[in-house]
Amino acid sequence: MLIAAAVCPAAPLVARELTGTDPVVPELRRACRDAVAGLVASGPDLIAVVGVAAGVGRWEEGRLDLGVFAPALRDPARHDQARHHQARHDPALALPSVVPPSLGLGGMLLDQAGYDGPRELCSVTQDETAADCAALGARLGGLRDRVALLVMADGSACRTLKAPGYLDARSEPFDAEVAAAIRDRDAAALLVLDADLAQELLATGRPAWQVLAGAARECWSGTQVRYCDDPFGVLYMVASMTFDTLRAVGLRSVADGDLDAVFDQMRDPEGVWMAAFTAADPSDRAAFDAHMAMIRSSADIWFRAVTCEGQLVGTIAAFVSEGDTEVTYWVDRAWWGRGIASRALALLLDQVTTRPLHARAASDNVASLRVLRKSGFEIIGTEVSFAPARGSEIEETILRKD
Amino acid sequence: MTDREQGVLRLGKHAFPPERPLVMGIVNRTPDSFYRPGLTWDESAAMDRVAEIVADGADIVDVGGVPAAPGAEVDAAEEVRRTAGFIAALRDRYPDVVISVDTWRHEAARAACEAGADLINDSWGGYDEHLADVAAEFSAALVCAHAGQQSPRTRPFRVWYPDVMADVLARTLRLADLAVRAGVDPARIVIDPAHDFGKNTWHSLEITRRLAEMTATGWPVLVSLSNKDFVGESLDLPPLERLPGTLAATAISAWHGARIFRVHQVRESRQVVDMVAAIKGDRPPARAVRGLA
Repeated sequence: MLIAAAVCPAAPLVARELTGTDPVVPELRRACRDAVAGLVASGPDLIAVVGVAAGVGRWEEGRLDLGVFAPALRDPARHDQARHHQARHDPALALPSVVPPSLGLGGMLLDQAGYDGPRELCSVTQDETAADCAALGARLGGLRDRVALLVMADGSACRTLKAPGYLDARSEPFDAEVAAAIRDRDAAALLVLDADLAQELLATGRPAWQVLAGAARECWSGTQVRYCDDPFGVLYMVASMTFDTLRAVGLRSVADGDLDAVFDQMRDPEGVWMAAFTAADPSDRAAFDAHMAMIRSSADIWFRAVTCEGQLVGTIAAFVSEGDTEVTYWVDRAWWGRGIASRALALLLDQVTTRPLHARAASDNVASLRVLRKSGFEIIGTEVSFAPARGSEIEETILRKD
Repeated sequence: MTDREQGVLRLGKHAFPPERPLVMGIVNRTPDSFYRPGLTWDESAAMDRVAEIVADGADIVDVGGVPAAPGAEVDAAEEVRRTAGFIAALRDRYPDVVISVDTWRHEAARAACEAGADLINDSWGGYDEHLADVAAEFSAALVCAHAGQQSPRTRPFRVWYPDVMADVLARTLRLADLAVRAGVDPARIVIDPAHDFGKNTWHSLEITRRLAEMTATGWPVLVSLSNKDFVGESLDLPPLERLPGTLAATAISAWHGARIFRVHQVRESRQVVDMVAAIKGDRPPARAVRGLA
């Protein structure tokens, strides 16, 4: 899941060595340093770097070879190393023998921030469609539980007469649209940017922003713009972004088409073990179907599907048992540990206004007890009873929220 | 031995041996070139300028009608209008001066050759593939330059090379080869690394430092260094204060064996290349009596 992202310019002059004696843009570099420090501080399992290049490729290491811009600064050892690494790479990709500069710059920023954890450097081309860029973003976001994304991207290089691409009056509105989308956390706006216009304006960041949009989806919760200026006629933007994965959690009615997935989730052996008080045979489909039919037709049972980013990840319910209203939930094991149960329970608490509410969990189901207590449920007692999934009597904790 | 084996460079009716450095003076028929814009926009001013640079020791006069930088559109017809008539007038007045046309367009090159130009100086790396055909048709000389992958009148934007000199050699030698196949006289082919074209300052410094790799190919090398941004950025100086830096780069290029120097300041450049030729032993001192009396 994407937890944090930063946008930094892919301009070579971000590398301090390349501007010679004069630092030229110290404030830009400071902004980049702060943004990348923020990524590292978010505690990612992996930092993915996305940049635009002539070919599509991915690398697990690599940083900028200054020599491609400044031959006098070439480190011969590293140059050979880069060639060697490339040789081990897919030879079918007609890529230059070094990591593309946009990604190399990103790698350099990670090094400067002292990051030594796993990284994945991914290039996209100027021809990549918005849909493909978004798909790459989604893939990167799903690589680990906690993914941070470093997006190397710039606006138009045609903002002034002295700009690399000379003056094009369309630059100003184009860049304003991008800046607004980033500021307003509007992934959809990034996905509809005009790719042809971007190319004409030398706005090389377009595909990289769309990768960001694909990774962010509806979870984009905050943006801090650290730098936004065009000292050389190219729009440089540095921004830090935060993501709340729980924004993507939702509840909806259970549909017939959900039942196969719900059945599979509820007979997962580890899940069954943790739940303990389950159906006698969770793999008995007929019994499952009968139970579901009963639940879905009962006026006393409030039953919802839990979704994350549109995907069915579990179920949650409130039902009346011996006069008390009790809550229960089930999250697909693939989605454990991401706060989904807590978020779904919070949504339930908004929608089911009955109080008090009761809940039960096996006393050794620490995770579920933590979810309940975090949501304001308090332990009111324990009970020992037979748990079909354990084949024995175990202790069950009873909680209540007033 | 052929001319090429002997290193003879043929320009118009002249045959220049390798040890003879040639100074090419710039005459821009433009209102908006970067160095002293509009200086020779007026035809009579341009003619006066030619007289001055020839007197200062220019072997070649390079006439251009379109600035290298992006700006107001100059189409082929306008380019021809700016250059061809002037070249015809020059040809009449200076039968012995080599006349060069600075263009990437075959239409402008053709009009210039018809007016009497001897050399087509294309800084944009063979962007117009018919240019070599024109050189062949008129027995004109052709400059084969390295502009990276830049289109005419564009600025470099984050260009990078695993090895810039390798790229310069690959592209210029390929262009030279194509020119020979198009029928251009091999003794009339010049290669040019094209400082600042498709290059950042570091790249231009690198090709200056490694220019010997170009001259080692045997093709005559032209360098166009004059008051360019790589000099300006190296010394942090505006165009009008770049002469000493230009002359330093000129001296180094001459030492590495460049044959043609495209310059704004002919007199100073002539002195530098003649001095380097004297140091190399290619040229005797003009007058040596010190300690010899």
